[in-house]
Amino acid sequence: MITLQTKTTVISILAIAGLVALYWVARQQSLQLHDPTILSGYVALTVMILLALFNTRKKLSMIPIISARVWLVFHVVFGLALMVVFGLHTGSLWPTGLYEQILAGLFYLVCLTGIAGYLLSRSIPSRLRHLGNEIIFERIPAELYEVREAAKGHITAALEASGNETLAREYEESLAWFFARPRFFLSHVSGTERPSAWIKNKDTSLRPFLSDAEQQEFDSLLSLMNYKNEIDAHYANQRLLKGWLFLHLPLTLALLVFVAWHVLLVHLYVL
Amino acid sequence: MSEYPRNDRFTHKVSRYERPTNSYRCGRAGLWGKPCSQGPDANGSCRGVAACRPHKNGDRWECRRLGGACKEGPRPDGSCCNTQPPCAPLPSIRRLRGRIAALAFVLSLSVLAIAALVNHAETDSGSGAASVSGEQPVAAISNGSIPVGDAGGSFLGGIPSLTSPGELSDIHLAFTAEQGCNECHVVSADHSGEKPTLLGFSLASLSPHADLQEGCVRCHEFGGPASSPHNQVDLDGELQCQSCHTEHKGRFAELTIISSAQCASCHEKKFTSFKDHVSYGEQFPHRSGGSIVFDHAKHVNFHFEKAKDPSLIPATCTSCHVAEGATNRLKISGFEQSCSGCHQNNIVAAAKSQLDVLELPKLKLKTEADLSMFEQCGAVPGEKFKAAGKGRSTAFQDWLVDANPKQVGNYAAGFCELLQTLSTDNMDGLLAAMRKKSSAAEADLFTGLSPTLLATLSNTWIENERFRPIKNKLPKPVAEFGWFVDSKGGLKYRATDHADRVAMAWIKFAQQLRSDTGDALAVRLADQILAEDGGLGACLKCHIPENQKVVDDEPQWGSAGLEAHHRFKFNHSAHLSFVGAGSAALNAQDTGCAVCHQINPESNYAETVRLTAPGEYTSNFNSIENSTCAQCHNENSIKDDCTLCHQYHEAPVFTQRLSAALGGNNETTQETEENQ
Repeated sequence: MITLQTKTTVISILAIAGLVALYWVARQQSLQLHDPTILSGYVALTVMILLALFNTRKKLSMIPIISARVWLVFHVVFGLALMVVFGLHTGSLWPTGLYEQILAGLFYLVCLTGIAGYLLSRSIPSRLRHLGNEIIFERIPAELYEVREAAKGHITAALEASGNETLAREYEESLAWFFARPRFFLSHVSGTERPSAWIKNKDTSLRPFLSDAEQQEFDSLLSLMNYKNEIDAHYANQRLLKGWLFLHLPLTLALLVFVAWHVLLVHLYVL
Repeated sequence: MSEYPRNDRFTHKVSRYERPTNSYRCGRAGLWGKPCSQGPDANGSCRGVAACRPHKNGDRWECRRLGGACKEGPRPDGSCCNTQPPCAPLPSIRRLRGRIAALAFVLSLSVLAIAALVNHAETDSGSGAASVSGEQPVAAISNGSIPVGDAGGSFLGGIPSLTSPGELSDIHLAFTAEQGCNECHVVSADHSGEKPTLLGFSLASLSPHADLQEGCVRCHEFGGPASSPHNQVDLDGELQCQSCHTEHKGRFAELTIISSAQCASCHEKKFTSFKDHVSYGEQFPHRSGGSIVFDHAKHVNFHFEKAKDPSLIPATCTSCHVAEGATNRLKISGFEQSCSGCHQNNIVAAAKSQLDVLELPKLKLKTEADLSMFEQCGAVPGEKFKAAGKGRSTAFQDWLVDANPKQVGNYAAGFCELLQTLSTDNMDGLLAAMRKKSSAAEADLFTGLSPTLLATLSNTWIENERFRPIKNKLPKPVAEFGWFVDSKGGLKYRATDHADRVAMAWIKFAQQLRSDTGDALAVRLADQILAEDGGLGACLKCHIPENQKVVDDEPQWGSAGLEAHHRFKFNHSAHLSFVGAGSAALNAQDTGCAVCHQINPESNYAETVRLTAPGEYTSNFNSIENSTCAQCHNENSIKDDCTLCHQYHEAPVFTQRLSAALGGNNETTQETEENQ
């Protein structure tokens, strides 16, 4: 059984060897006064199409065309290699023509979003694992509804048991806001403790004013608040995990359109 | 907390529809409300109006609500009793992402389509950048203006073009004013000259294309095939202009950069720095003596040392050579400034020699036929030819008549015809007769010759009268310069000064005669013209016509010699100030020009200067060696690229099309191109 690490190593070696070979051939072509950009351009185009096929592969999960994990490794390694090929092809960081500037700009944006997405997909799962609970992103609205209803139940129980409106008023003034939808998005994305501190602040500020009967319900409410906080963290991180593709995919498609235009023009005017 | 989190909360029984691959999600869940148990269908319609879809079991309807049957149960008609208004399902993240991606795709296509249509419309209307400038390209080039707002196809009608990969360089910027991209890019062999359509764009990219070089050679031409290496016919291989020259890199981009490594890829001896350069050879940089004979060693080491008048001795090399703006060769400042101080007397002495052009020969017309033939010309020969002095035909006459005077009959007929021609058609007739014999005959040969003088002379001959020169008060030495008829009735020419135009024309004519034909009479004429005694040969004491540079078929009598080999280029001007040429003495050994040009006193320059075969000539300077250049040009100091000294192209010039636009002659355009 070949491990993923071995496959990663093989793919990386292939990519590096391909880059070295491309550089050598392009160098030889340049020395022989042939245009190396044709070769590097078509290599870049081929790699770009292969990278774009990753999305198609994910949609065709029923067909066993290499596992998605290996595709991902290929996507990442050859995506990085493509940046070098692009540099070889253009020879400069920023071209002078408008459409080539658009093309280069799109390429850089696709690369940046891709790198950002890869870093997010490497860091967020481990962060989610540390949260302790597993929550499916699509189930979060239902989960929030149930938590909210449970919280309301505890408030009602506290009101019936003690006859005091302390918790009910607190719920109406601030806890309802908390339970209404996911909160503290940026705090959860950045990993700060502000949401926990907010809950702790509620505990310390409210508890002295609660009766024994209310405190029992309030403990349950605090558990719910902590669970809701976990849901919020899941929501924020998973949203981010899915969100970067909102940039990467459209930019990739736009890039492919301009690449096709570029190839057309090159064939039309140069070759 | 007891019931949260539930262990089964993500099982399919609890939620059957919230999957990432679904296209829609519940609208209520999207607003963080209570999601229904069914969720929207694949078309995005709400299925949560009823809590369940009751099932008929026999004659009874049973509740099928997810999470357990309700108390009320289904209505008698089988509908669910728990209903609510439908929600507005929202697209799932996956679907939303797909929509945005599709939008980006369509937007990109639209931008390109609009750009292509604008491009096409502008090309169709013929406005394009031309409408911005309002000028034709030739006019724009000749007056030096560049169309405002145009950037070599980067803008069309003020709209940024999505077909141009970048601005053209300043040099080429004005050329796209009329035809836009088509000025250089021929879209395809099938679409040449046509306006490209959007469909044509796609089709053309798949069809065979014309050579991009075609656009370049409309304006540029070389001393050989444009696509041959170094424009040399005998070198294998083919190179396109764009192999080295890449456009669309911005207005200030350098178009001619080529690395030494690229040169080395073709050349057998590979090196990338001066110290490894192949030896310059024994004759570097002088492979021929040029067109002026001047023995530097003899002048510097002998004549200048022994000069009676020290004021005539040049102080430095730049006293005779023009340093300002000098490139490959240092021009000589001219005869009057450099040579006449000592050599004017040579010109005066040489002027004593004269060119015999026409004489009335003394023909021995012994037979009736000969006499009759001669008389038919209108001549009335008496007992003797009164006008004939020595009575000897000239080599020019013999060549023109195409007969030797000893062949009396033929000669008499030819001479008779010549007399008639001179009498009736004068100078034009003479030139026409010459041109029948040689294409080298030009009007310059008779510059200054009075038609009246020629007519008078010919009529005098025909009438067999003695020629009486017009009475004037000029003394004989003055009267007998330029064209004149001597006391014996012979037409002659004597040079008036240095660089006499007529003498130069006759020497060129003689050179041409020698090279054109093996006709003995023509060779005799050429020999007579170029004879030092009785011809113009004295000029050749200093001038070597064989080495003269020819520009537009005109031999250059100045110091310009043959071109340096290997497309060598050198900026003398930049080096002269560096070595202090303006102040170094003539005999200095390590400053001034002597830093590179060391006189070789042992050279046999005088014996070899007229030899033109390769390797026969010996310069009176030592050959320059690599080490001399490498003192300054090395990897640690001043750059030592191949292109620093070598020009890739052979004799690059602009074509007539562009030359006319630039308003310059061939030489001017060549200079311009070299400067570029």
